[in-house]
Amino acid sequence: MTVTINGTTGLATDSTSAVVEAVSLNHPSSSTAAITMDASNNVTLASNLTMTGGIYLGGSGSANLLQDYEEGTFQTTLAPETSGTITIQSTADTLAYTKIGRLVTVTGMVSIVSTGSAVGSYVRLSNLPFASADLTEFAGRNGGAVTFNDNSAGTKTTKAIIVLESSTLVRIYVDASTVGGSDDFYLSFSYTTT
Amino acid sequence: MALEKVISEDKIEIVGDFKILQIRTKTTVMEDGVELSSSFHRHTITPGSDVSGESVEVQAIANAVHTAEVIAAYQAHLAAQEV
Repeated sequence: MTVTINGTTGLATDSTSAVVEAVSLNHPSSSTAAITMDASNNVTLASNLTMTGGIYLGGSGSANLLQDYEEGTFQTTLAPETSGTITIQSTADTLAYTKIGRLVTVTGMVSIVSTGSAVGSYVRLSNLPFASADLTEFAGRNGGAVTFNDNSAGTKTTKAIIVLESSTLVRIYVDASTVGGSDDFYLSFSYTTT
Repeated sequence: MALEKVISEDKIEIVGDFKILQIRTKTTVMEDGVELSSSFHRHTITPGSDVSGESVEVQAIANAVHTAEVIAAYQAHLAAQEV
């Protein structure tokens, strides 16, 4: 028997069997079931689910709780480790982020318009959208790589990065003096937040 | 049918031992008071940062929580992570 709770016609069943094999729920303004549940306990929603709390996945402990999803953009800056300046084009300083639980993924490209006597063994990328985590021992540290497009040299190379704990900073390990106007950094990395 | 774009700092968070501020700016497109779409833009403020370009509310929070002690502790924290 399928039990249908329809906002217009009310409660209905499709047979006299006492065994409920499926349940569906319709909104009065829609002929499509908003919620259905089948005999295998699969629940299907026809549209979006809005939750102000989280959802436990695979268990009921705090480590199973997925509380947050968010996507958006942020603007960043670059600076050499030791001295000098690196200026990003104002039309190419916005990066995208996607946060799923405590994991933040950053993607995008920044283009450099000019540099001034840049010195240092790394370039500092600032203003991450969420502060990085400070977890047990060094579990909050994150590493990865980005692509450095050196237009003057005509090369594309991979540069190591690290995300410091409890900060909004990324170090891109490239000799700052080799970074020049029209160079780009292609970014795709993830880090943990609180 | 009136369209309106509303920009607001809809979330300001103080995070961690170093009181890093996480500010979310929401841009909402409204039609007759009903939200059609929205997007988020974020920025963060670490201890010792220039907040002169921030909203009055954010400046007040930063000035309250980013004390000299917190700024010094944050700088020491970064220096301690040299690799």
